[in-house]
Amino acid sequence: MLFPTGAFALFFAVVFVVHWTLVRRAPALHKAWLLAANLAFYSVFSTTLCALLVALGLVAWALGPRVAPGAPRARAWLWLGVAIALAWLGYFKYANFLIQEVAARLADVFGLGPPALLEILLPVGISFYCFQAISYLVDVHRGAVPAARGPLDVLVYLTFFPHLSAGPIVRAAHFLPQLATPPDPRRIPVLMALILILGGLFKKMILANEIGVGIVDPVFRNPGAYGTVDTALAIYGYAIQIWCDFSAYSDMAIGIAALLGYHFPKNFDQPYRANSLADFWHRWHISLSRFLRDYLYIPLGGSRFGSVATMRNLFLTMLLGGIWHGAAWTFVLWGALHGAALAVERALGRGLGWFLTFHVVVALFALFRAPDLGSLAAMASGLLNWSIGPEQATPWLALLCALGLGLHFLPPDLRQRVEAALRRWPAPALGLAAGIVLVLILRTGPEGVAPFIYFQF
Amino acid sequence: MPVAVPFAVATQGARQPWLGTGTRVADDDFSPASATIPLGKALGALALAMLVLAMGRAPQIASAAYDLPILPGTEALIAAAEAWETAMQWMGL
Repeated sequence: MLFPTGAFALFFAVVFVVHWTLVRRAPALHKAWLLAANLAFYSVFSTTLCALLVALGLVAWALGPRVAPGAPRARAWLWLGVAIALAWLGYFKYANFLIQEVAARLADVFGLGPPALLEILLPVGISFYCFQAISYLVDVHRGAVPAARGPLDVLVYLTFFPHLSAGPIVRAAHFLPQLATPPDPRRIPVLMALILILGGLFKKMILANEIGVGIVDPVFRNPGAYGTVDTALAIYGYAIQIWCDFSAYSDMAIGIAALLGYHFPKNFDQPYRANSLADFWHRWHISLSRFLRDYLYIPLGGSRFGSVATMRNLFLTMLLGGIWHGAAWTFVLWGALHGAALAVERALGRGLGWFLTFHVVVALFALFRAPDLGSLAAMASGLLNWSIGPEQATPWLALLCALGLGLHFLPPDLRQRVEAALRRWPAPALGLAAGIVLVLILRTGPEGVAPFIYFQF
Repeated sequence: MPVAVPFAVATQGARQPWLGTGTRVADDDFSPASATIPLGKALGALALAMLVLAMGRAPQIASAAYDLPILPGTEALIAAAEAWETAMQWMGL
């Protein structure tokens, strides 16, 4: 179920009304209702995969008291729990990749036939909920949050529908305390939630969809067939599209959670205005960057053991960040190159500056989007082929790309300024205005909604 | 032994920032100064937004109704969606 659809609007309307009614009249039931809504939301994708998600949640909950500080062999139990979550992720996401890349080569060496691939359906959002299961275990182990007594809190945390499909990765230590008491029905931050949801819809429906359908998809589908202008606009366009698409999902998720009374941290902060790659990773997919920093980079030693060890840790962290995105050599290389570039910045002792940072990020996103390295080579040759004129590129698409980039240079606190300007509006006027903007966005964008890019991760 | 908790300061006791009970998170869109309204007003605002959405998307609602599986009640839903679309056309939307 995609956010910008009528089905989701109906689903959310029912969830919203019942949730707040229960919070007011039967608070003991509101979490059970949220869990039911979460499972209904995920069952649209697959009931089997929904059952597997619940099973992982139950495993994490069962291990909670065993990994708590002071429990016997807590560290061993923690490692077991993390291994289970990673094995879960590994089976669904990487098993066929390993079969293809390792078993097939071994079969070649020993003269055997090609190994059969497993029939695996990749669960939507698996990378996100597996990381959140790890977050629960590590946070309990570190004493940042107590182990949950019953499974309900852990299941609501792992399956909460606003962030279930594509994040943000919300930490257990951030979310579970919010479940300790029912949200306050006297104070719902509707205005900022609407600003986030409508802003996200604009980025997704108008910018990301138009740029994706108009230039990025055709050029990346057939990269050798286009010349310099088309290829260049597709490469820049993808960098804009993926930001518009992913940050739109995050903004809508944050807004939807806020309407239900729960807070998710910010996930994007105008990433293309970064002056260094380190700065970029403080602004892009912030929840993943912080997860990798706190659960991987710092445990590896962080920057505590000299510059060589720091550069190694940066490289390994980004490499694993790349692999997290998917089972393909392009993701591995994307992560490795980001890690290497961060290590270079560290060695230089300064950032690359805005222009170079932006272009390194854009070029590496082309690698991220390309189905394989051959396609990337074909795009590189297309980029230098002036003999083919523009076929897909139009001034409208170039304008949308420029607009997507231009949004990064608006005041960072623009949302708060809009909120300050509108906060005295009466609630009916806000609802009316939100409805009109919603209809205008849906009428302006192309018909139909492409799935969010990060659903595949 | 549990390892150090580098992020504990940022998360301990953190609740919804608009309630003003948690730790202020820098650069977040929400803060203790965020505008909030009570449930009744929130319900009214969202109901109005949904009504405007339904008015502006009447053809899409009718088309979604046609795609519903044949079950008891489907015909009534299709009739209601068609009537809604006709009413919106009559209003010039």
